[in-house]
Amino acid sequence: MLSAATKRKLRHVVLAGTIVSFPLLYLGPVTLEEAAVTMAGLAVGIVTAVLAWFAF
Amino acid sequence: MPDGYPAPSMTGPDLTILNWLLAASPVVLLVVAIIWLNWSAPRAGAAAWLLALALALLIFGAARDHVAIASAKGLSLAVFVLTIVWTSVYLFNMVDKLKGIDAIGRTMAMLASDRLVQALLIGWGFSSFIQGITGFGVPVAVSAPLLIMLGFPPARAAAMALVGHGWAVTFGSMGSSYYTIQLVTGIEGEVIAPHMALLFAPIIVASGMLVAHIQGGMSALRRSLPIVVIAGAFMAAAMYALAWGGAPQIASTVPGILGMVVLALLSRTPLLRAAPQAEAAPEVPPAGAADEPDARPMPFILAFMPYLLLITLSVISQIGPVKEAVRNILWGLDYPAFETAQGFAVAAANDYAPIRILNHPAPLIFFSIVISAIIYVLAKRWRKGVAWEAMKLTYGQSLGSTIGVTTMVMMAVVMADTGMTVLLARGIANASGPLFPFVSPFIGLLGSFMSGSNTNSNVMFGLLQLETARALDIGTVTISSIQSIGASVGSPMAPAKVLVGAAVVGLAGKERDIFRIVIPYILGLVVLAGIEAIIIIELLPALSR
Repeated sequence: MLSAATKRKLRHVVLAGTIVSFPLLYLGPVTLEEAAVTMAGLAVGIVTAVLAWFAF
Repeated sequence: MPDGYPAPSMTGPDLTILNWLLAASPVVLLVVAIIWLNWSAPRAGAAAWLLALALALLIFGAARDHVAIASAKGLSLAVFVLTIVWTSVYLFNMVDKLKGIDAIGRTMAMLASDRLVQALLIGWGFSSFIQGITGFGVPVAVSAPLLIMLGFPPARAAAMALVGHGWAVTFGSMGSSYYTIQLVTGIEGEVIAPHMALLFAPIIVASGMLVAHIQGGMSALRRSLPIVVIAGAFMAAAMYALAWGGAPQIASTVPGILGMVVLALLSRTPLLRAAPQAEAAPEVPPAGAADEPDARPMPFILAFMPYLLLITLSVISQIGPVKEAVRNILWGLDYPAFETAQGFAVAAANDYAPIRILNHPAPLIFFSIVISAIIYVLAKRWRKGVAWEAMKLTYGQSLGSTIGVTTMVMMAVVMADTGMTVLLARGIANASGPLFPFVSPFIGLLGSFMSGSNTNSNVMFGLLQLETARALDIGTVTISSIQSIGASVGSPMAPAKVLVGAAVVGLAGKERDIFRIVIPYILGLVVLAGIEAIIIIELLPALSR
């Protein structure tokens, strides 16, 4: 398992991932209508959620 | 419903037992993960969002774009709610770092020498006022130590603060939970806010009675009954007036203050029956004596000023011409309509979850912070580094709740926009039938118990309750209100809040002592909400909306 210090650091990464995923999830399907951006948004969101599972 | 969550279509996935169980599985995962597996809210929320995403794509006919749009909507809604969280927690921390909260608490303690009145003032009034302006366990963290300082036993001190502020949660935190239920259900604020306030009235009075009972059993309850009923009536009337008048963000703060004032005044009248034995209240240590010998105590008016500013700005923002002048200064995203492969249609939403400059609590709190900081500097009460210290503290305190709220909101909107929530509602409607109004507040309680948040509960179950009420053809406004009321009074039972209470009163590791006191009282309040719902819907349909 991860150490408490690693978990604390990872929590900041989770927040950053959440912030990054928002514009990608919006721009991909709504503004740009670009599948690659949508996929990137979902990928960032999913990876962030997995990291959240470990970090919290 | 321009500001609201567009009502989804009632077509969509077929109601079969397998589909219903699959649709319920993200919520079941949340419950099991938090209650039995002891996962934190962010961890459980992340897992539940991933499961909802997978089910939406693989079972319920959503396309990649649909789940991306639903998740982005969830993030929009999270920003709407979290900006209130961040700014209100920051404001509290800033005032606390300047010893303002200590000054406010000490003034409360000086208002009365009777221990029962002190319990009511702090456990019922002050904790609710704190809930009105911040929330997230802070009412317990601030009120319980004050009660201990006044000589109350730790477990009872925590229990009084927990039970006493439950009524103030929905309109508390500058209305974040209220705005969430309003957004999620799409019901106009002018309709749901006063109706909810009306339903809160008996809960407010009952909360005061329960605090008295925790303090001194039936004799304390009998002694304080007249003043609790009168103060509760004033508080309920204030809540109703503010909710009706378009200022729901202060509909817990102002009643909390008013309750303290009325209690303090009535405690000097014969309405408060004499105590069987005169109980001398222990002396409160002078401000700053323990930790900072040189610290000057802050005058109450300065300590309270940021919150007075907030109340004033909230009132100004509701003045017709002011409201109209700034109505279009907002931040909100437009989302397109879509339809899943199983025929579930979601309407387009313009300016989704808008943050209006003077009609959203976050900008108002921000202005209060800036003006207060300037006044503190001018009054030579400012201390270098306070702004940064409060920022760091707020970041640390809010990080977990930020991820928790975000993931749970994303899960809830993915479920809502792919037909899962409507499916759940239809199933519950079919199963519970006429008993549903009584069951409704327990669903709210379940959500807040799981997540520690009235807001999260409203996001998770608000639409579910609305759709169930629609399916049963009963008052949608009443049931949506009861959802939030159940979540509000139930949230102090959440492990997250009880843990805060236990930590601040020195009972860490002995949380069971607090749970044992709190659970029967909280369940009593939820039962009262269920009885209200049954009475209004079944016996007084004219009052139901």
